[in-house]
Amino acid sequence: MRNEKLLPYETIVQATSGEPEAVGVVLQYYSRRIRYAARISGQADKDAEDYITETFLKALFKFRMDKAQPPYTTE
Amino acid sequence: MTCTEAYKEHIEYTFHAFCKIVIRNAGLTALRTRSRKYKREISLNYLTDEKHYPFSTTDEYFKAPELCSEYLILICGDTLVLSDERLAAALSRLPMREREMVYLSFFKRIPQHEIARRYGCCRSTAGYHIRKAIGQLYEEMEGMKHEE
Repeated sequence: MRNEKLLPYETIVQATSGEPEAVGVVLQYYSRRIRYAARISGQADKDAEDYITETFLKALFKFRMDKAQPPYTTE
Repeated sequence: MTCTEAYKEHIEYTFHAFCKIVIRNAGLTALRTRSRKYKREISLNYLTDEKHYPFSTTDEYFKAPELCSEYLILICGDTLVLSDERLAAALSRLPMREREMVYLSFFKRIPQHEIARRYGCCRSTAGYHIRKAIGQLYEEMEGMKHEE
């Protein structure tokens, strides 16, 4: 049971280390979500979209693999 | 670092959750910024149409100053002499505790943590009370200005 729609691990690693191509892929992947978050009272707002994209890009490089604890296993 | 399938999958989910939250919060921030802006902004047309404000003002300091009246107010056992009627009125309408905090902070220039110590609360609480009091002062004085 694996969610195939998620971004692959390799892309995440590259994107968080600043690979332009991978960052582009990530942005593309979340573009719909960003546009959805940027609508204000039902209308798309360009400024809000730019702001969210900017914040998102800044946050992208703050994602740390080592902070994400490995999943709990009961084995 | 172990790089098992499970770990990779976990990272994928974590990353997705992280991105979702970042985007959602950024969206909320953008919305808040925008509504704050809208609250302050008034259309120029509306202002000039309604004749709320003239486009130019004439300076008032050429007029003969009115007789400077003084208002006395008692705070913390000190008597304060204010020359502004509106400020005196607004200040006297504040609750005792907040009036004293504002007085200590702005007139006596005592740091907030020291005020907080006197009133037995933490610094941020004192800061909050002072900010609230200042907001109230502004509101009252604005109100009085329009009444004139």
